[in-house]
Amino acid sequence: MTSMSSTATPTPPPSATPAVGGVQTVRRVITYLLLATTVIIAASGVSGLLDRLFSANRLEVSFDNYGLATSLASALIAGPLAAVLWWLTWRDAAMARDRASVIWPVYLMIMSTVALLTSTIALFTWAAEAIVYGWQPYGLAVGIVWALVWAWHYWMWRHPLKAPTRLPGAAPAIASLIGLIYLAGGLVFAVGRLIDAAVDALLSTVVVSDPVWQLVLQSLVWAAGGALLWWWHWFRVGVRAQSHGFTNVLLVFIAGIASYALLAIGVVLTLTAVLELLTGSPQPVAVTLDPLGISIASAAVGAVVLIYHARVVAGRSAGVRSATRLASAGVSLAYAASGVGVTVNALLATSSNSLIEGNIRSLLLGGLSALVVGGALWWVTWRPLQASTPERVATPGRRVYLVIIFGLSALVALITLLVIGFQLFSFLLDAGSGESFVERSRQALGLLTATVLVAAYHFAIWRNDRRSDVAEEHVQRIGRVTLVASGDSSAVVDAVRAATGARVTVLERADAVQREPDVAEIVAALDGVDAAHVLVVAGVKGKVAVIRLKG
Amino acid sequence: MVHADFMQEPAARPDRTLIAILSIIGAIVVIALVVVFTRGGPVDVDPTTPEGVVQSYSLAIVDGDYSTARDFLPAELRENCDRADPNTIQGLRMTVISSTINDDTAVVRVSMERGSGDFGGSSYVSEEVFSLVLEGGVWKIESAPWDLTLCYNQGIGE
Repeated sequence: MTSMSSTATPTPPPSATPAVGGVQTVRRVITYLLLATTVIIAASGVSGLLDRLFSANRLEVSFDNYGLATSLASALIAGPLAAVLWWLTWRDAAMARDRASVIWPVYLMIMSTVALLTSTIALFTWAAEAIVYGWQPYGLAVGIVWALVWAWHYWMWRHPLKAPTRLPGAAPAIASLIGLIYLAGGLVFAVGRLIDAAVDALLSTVVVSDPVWQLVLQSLVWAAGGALLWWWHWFRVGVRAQSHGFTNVLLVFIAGIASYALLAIGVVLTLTAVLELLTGSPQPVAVTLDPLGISIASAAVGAVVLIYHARVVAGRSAGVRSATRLASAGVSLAYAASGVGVTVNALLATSSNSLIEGNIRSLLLGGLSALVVGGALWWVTWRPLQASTPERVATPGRRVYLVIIFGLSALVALITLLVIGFQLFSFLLDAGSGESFVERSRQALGLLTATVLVAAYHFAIWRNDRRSDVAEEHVQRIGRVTLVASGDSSAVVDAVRAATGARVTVLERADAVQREPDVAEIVAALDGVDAAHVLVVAGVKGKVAVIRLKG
Repeated sequence: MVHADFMQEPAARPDRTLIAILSIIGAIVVIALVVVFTRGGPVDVDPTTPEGVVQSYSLAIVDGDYSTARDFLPAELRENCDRADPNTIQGLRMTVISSTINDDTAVVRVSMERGSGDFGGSSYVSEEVFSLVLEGGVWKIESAPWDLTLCYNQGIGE
């Protein structure tokens, strides 16, 4: 009975009784909405009062009676109300009914995310200011009060008897993402400012600036706070080991989209700056090199985040791996396509005789960098030479990817065509010069060209897939599984979910059964079953009953 | 692996499409590089026309050569100019939309693209108007877009 999720997450035993709906749902929505509102108002009132307490000895003149009255009213009226509401919801009787409802984890998720964001932003801002101006209690109160609100919700989320049974691990996953964003952002700014300082020292162009160590240290405060937050949730709470749908989506987002996009934009901007230097840009060197620090830092931090998460993804299911790969192919494709668009835009810019030409060269170089970097990344992730091999056609999620690309292409085409049409008609009605039409619609024309190329390529892939003899990609044949078993069945639940993709509900037997069937036997029994809802009874002596249900 | 075998038939079509698309992109890139880097820069418009005056005046402002720019203003404005704050102008692009002459006044409509233009997104385009008057047979700038204005009272007098 050792499952991989038992390392850190105390997965609450799946509840047997689903929550009662009907009027109870309305009652829950209203109760939790009121609870959230009163908690927010009470927290803002208490933090306002605490702020006054902290800065009491520093105050010289105060006529802010309204502010004080607001804080007092918020704290003294919303506070007790929040306490009463919480007592009503937290009672054993109420929680027994609400525990399996989805509204309970949604409330916890929203409130802990709000509290975490408010407290961390307040605390980190305060710490960054303290580096420059020294100890100042003002502003600290918000951070402390909201940190307590967060801790309170964290405790409820992990309560052994009353924690929600639905959406497990969602709030910690979001918290780990917030931590990672602070960490990556803080590092990007810290490293970027160091590089900028080095460049400035070489060029000696800076006239007025705050000391570099101060700026770097301020960014590092955010990075350190984010690192703590991320480490706590990712390792201690165990988001890393979670295999729920929510965590998988998060992983695909981080490894396939966010870190990839950060890396790509960093390399693109760095390459643009280098190319502009090499081709002798007309603008001053300091202006050309201005984005260099942030660009190099983004590329480096993006690469580190990507490498780390790519290793995590490698240990996940085939679906997660292929979704990550497809997502990163899509991100690179977007960069390459916008590069083509900007290149066409720069080409069209030369067709009109402008009075002042602007900086077409840097526009072109920017487009070319995006095209080269995006194109190279796309080549690596999509591998176009093997794009139509049977094993690639059978990749899970490939059709979804193609459909998303068609949808986005259609959207971009629609918008650009509208812009071009508008410019065309206004040119015809307005009798401007012929150049002005191209001048005003060249951005749209560039994007349209890129979109048409993207859609054409993927349409050929799509047609080829249809003609190939590879069967339809794996379809989910079972919608819902209700499993009757005894004891801790989390391993079975994970295995059934992984094998069928179905939603699994567990009904726990009141008394234990002799020699229940093991995980492999249950999964094997479900093989080839095709139904919206299946009842699986793990019986005595390894017997498995599979019963198809209606609806 | 047997890559070479099935590369022949089923994979033929996307490969052809891929080659076609890559050649289109290659052609665009080569043409754009050649055209952008061999072009000399903006054409010098005949300085006696309204567009020519607009060009010379705007170039002088962009270069920060305010004394030259002042020469393109009408005499009355030159004498009592209420100096505007100078702007730093980066990466301005200006194209004529139309130019209309009515006896001794002229209106030049231009499209102005401001901003660094890095990656095409951060710039914004607007349509602006220069009005000019004929003074002693020479076109003079009476009013200009706000960021190319030299005097606050430009275009107010007459």
